[in-house]
Parts: sequence; C-alpha cells; structure tokens
Amino acid sequence: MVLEFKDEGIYCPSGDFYIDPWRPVERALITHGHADHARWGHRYYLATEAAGPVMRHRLGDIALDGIAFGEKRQIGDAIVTFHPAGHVPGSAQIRVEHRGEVWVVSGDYKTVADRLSEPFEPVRCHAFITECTFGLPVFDWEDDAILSAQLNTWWQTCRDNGQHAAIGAYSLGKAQRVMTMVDPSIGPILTHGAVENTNEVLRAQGVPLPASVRVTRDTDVKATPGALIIAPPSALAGSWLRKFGSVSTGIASGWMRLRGVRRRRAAERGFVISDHADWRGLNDAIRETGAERVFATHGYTATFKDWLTEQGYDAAVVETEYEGDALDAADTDADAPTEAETVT
Amino acid sequence: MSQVFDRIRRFTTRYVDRPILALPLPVGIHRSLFALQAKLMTTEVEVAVRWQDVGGVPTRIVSPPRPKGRLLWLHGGGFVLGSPDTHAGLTDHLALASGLEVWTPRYRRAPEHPWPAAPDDVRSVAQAMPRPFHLGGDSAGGNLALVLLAQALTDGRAPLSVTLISPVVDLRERQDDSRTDAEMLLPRAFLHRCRAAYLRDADGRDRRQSPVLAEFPGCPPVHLELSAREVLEPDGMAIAERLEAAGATVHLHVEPKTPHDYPLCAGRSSAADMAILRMAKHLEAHQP
Repeated sequence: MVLEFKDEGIYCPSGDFYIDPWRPVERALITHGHADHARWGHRYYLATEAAGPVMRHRLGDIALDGIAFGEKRQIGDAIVTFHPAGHVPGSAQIRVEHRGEVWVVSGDYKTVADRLSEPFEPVRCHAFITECTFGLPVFDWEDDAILSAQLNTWWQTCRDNGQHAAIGAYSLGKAQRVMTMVDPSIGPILTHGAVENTNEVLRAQGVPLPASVRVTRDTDVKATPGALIIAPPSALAGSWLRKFGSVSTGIASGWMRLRGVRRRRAAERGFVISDHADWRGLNDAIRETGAERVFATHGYTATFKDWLTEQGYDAAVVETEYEGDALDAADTDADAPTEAETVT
Repeated sequence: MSQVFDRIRRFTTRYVDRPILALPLPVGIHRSLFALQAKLMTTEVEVAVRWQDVGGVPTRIVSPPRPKGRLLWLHGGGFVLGSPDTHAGLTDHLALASGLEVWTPRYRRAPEHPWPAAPDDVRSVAQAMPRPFHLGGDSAGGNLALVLLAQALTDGRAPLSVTLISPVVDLRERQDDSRTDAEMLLPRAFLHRCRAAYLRDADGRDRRQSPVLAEFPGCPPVHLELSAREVLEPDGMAIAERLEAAGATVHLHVEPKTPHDYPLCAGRSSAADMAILRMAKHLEAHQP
C-alpha cells in the first residue's frame, strides 16, 4: 500500500509522512488551510505556496515548507506532487508515487471552476482517496451565473427595502467566493473581522478581491445603508448583527439544499453555493482519475460506497476526522474574540 | 446514519405504521397521519417548485437545475391517501438525481371520487403535458401509471420510459392473502378498505382497474423496484412478466428487508437513496 490509514491520519510508509493528520505527527503534508485539514502541533508542514500564508495566519509560527503546484519532491522513497483541487485558494490534491504505484488524496475539492481558486485538475492514479461531503444526487449545484443573480437580486431587494443583507459564509474560501460573485456596484461590502483578516492575507498574496470594509465597534451603520455584510455563519446567530438594525439573513452553503438545515439555522434565505464537488462532480472526478480503488473519507460515505461498488469500483469507507463543509464546525478565525478586531 | 435509519424504520413500520393503518379511523385522520409521517420519513430539499393547472388538474412541478426533460409521476397511497406533497421527498430527490422536471398531479381520490376519477384525471394531465415525457408511479400510483401506459400505447403515444415502485396491478377479489404475513407495512384490513373505497361496486375485472389484464404493445423500457416479501411482490412479478411478454425490457430490483414503497425515505435511508440512483440511471439512459 502506498498509503495506509492510521489513528493519526493517512500515512505513507515509504516516505514516513502523513497527509492532513488529525493527531500531532513529525511530518505533515497539508492539502489546504481549513481547520479540519491543517491542524496544530505537527513538527514539519509542507503545503502549496499559495496555501502557506493562510496557514501561517491561522497556525502561527509553524515550520512550513512551500511547494509549487506540479513540483516533484522526493520524500524518502516516495515522490509527491501537489495538484489544484479548486476548493479554496491554494488547495491541493496530493499525489504520492512509490515504485510505479500512484495514490491521490483529494482533500476537499470542487470540479467546477470559479473566479477565486486554481481550477481543479484531474490526476490519473491507481487509488483515489476522496471526500464525499455531498455524496447524494440531490446535491446538484446551479451554474455560478444563476447563483450570482440570486445573490444580487436578494441584496438589491434588501437595499430597496432599507435593510442590510447579511450572509453567513465561512471565512476562508466561501466569504471570498461570495465577494467575487456579487455586483459591488449595488453597495458597500462590510466584513466580520474573521473574514477581513483572511481577505488581507489573500490580497497580500495577490488574490484579486473587491473592496471590503471591516466592521469594528466604531462602524457607523447609518453611513452604509443597504450594505452586504459577510460573516461566518456562527456570527450571524449571535449578538454581533444586532447593531445593524433591520437585517435580512442568508447562508451560503451546499447544505442549504436541505430544507431542515436552513430552518435550524433560522436563515431567511439559503444560497446553495458550495466549495465542494456536487454529486456529478464527485462522479466525474473519480471517473477521470481512472482509479480502480476508491476510498471515501467523509460525507455520505455509506451510500456513496454502495453506489461506487455498483459502478464496478473497489470502494471502501475510511473513518477520518474531516468535517467537510464547515457550516457547523469551528471556523478558526470566527472564534477569535471580536473585541480584538477593533484594535487591529 | 442512514443504515441506522433503515433498522429503526423496520421497527416503526411493524409496530407503529402498520397498527395505525389497520385502525378503521376516518379517512381524513389517516390522510393527516400519513402526511405527518411522510415529512419525517424523508429529507426535504430546497428546489424550485411551482403548481400549475394541467388539463384541469392541479399539478406540482419540481425543477432541478438545467432540466433535461420531464417525468410524469403518479403518487401512491391506496387511491385514498397521499398527495404530491406527501411524495415531495421522493419526487424532489428523483428530480435532482435524474435532472428531469417531475410533474405530480393532484388526482382525485377515493372514497369521495371512486374509480374512474383518478385514471380520468391522469389521462387529462397526460394529454395536456408537453411531450415527450417519462412515466412512473409508486404503489397505487403505479396502477395509474400502468393504466395510462396501456392507453398511451394503444394511442401510439408511448412514454420515453417507465419507472415503477411496487405497483398495484390486480384489484380482482383474491383468496390467497396468506402472503400478507411477511408484509411489514400494509395490513390486510387496510388493503380491503382501500379497494372497496376505490372500486365501490366494481369488481376489479376492468383492465383500467387491474392493468395486469391490459395489453402493452410496443412498451418502452421499464425499471421496477420491489421490496422482498412485501404483499405486492407477486403483483410486481406478474406485471414484469406481462410487460416482458409484450416485448419490453424490464429491469427488476428486489430490495431485501425493506417495507413497501421504501424509496419514499429518500435522503434518510441508504436503501432508498440507492433506489433513487437506480431509477435516475434508468431515466437518464432513456433520454432522447
């Protein structure tokens, strides 16, 4: 086996390293900066150059080495390369080759290109370790043009009604995706500190984003009528929104396809916008790898495994500690005290 | 998670749903209980839905992103219970999985409107619907789908494909009801009450009541989902033979350890999700 599944995470014995481990290890290769994949406490980290700044921002002073997409690196007896996953800026699939056998760990991925992340690149392999967060056929995403129109219509309507439009989107990836999808001429974009911190990191590395204004204790709400407010979903539920007065709330997540999830989150509007592959995307990606063996790590794994088996794959479910779309998971930045944001 | 649901559902089917269906309660109460239960059985999805008058029958139309065609779906409920709303879980999951718009008419139900009100309504919808379309139905809706199918084939207007879940195909008086002992969901008393309400004074020997008696010349490909050892399994087998004898390709799937019409639990049950996927694959394979 090129890769093994251990208590600490996905392990490569020939290179003595882990990929996205969930317990502290000596050497960790990281697919992307989300908290369930890039965790604290490893001795050495390796990630793409584009993912590095956000990881440093979130994890502090770590021993992090950068690698370019497509760059070959020999670790022990294994050869590794990183390939775009289309999930968030800098996100990668990790290809590991040992004695001619190739395994690929997908991390989180999205097959349809957006205006933010490096577009997904299929990688041929013998075994594919894939997420399947949205591994049911009801998860069928609309085209970005339609989703953009939905967002803009909602924002414009809020503005016409003298309301703010507040959208819940996690701070790395989704928030910036929403920013690239809306029409900035409708009004100003206000951001929660967690979102703006990430915006600053991404802008500094050259990711083009429209202008946004950080919400602080001194923000004059009256000066920004009809603004679009972007905050992590957890912040929408708390007292943070109160000062804006009349607000219409929405959430951007693939989970908005499920009526019950939107109701429980008490959002008025659900926008089915995801940074993960939908059902078709998962199936297309797996087919394009040419892999015979497929391991499903997180999401609707049981049904997805049965489906893949019926399609002729040698499929299995692997227990991991990945969480998929971080709607209810801790958004590292969002947990930072909001008071501190007024200082920065 | 979804496999746990399947285990719990087997228990609640036997010890909650079945005893309730056996009670001779007013039909309005049965309808409300079924509507309540239907919501709990599935994961409701947010997808574009509109209601439209189609041939004089209010019809629920669910549209997935980028719809590629249409499926006319006839809901089950013993001709007495159920509505496009109780079957929204099934139809919405199927719409998203297949990429087809699913049209579900609110046909008139017994006992207020006995046979032939329902097949008449279904025929009006089929005549008013944009063509071509796929055809399908579950349980009593499977009966209506087959009745419509036989008529459509006679008229030379075959649907693109046929998808059936445990259809009711034979409403003639039957002596051999011993098989109901292995049935998890449907008590004999309930079946008798539904039959009486629907047929009123008729005997079930009309082919528009018992489509197992009908002819299906030039029948398009059929996908059939049954639950193993359910009371309607022999019905399903009988119609499969009948359709095959007429030259149709019939793909049959018999799912073990599931109650009648188990695909209604789409989104919660692994078995149901797999059924949705099989049906979607069948529909996609027969798109023009």
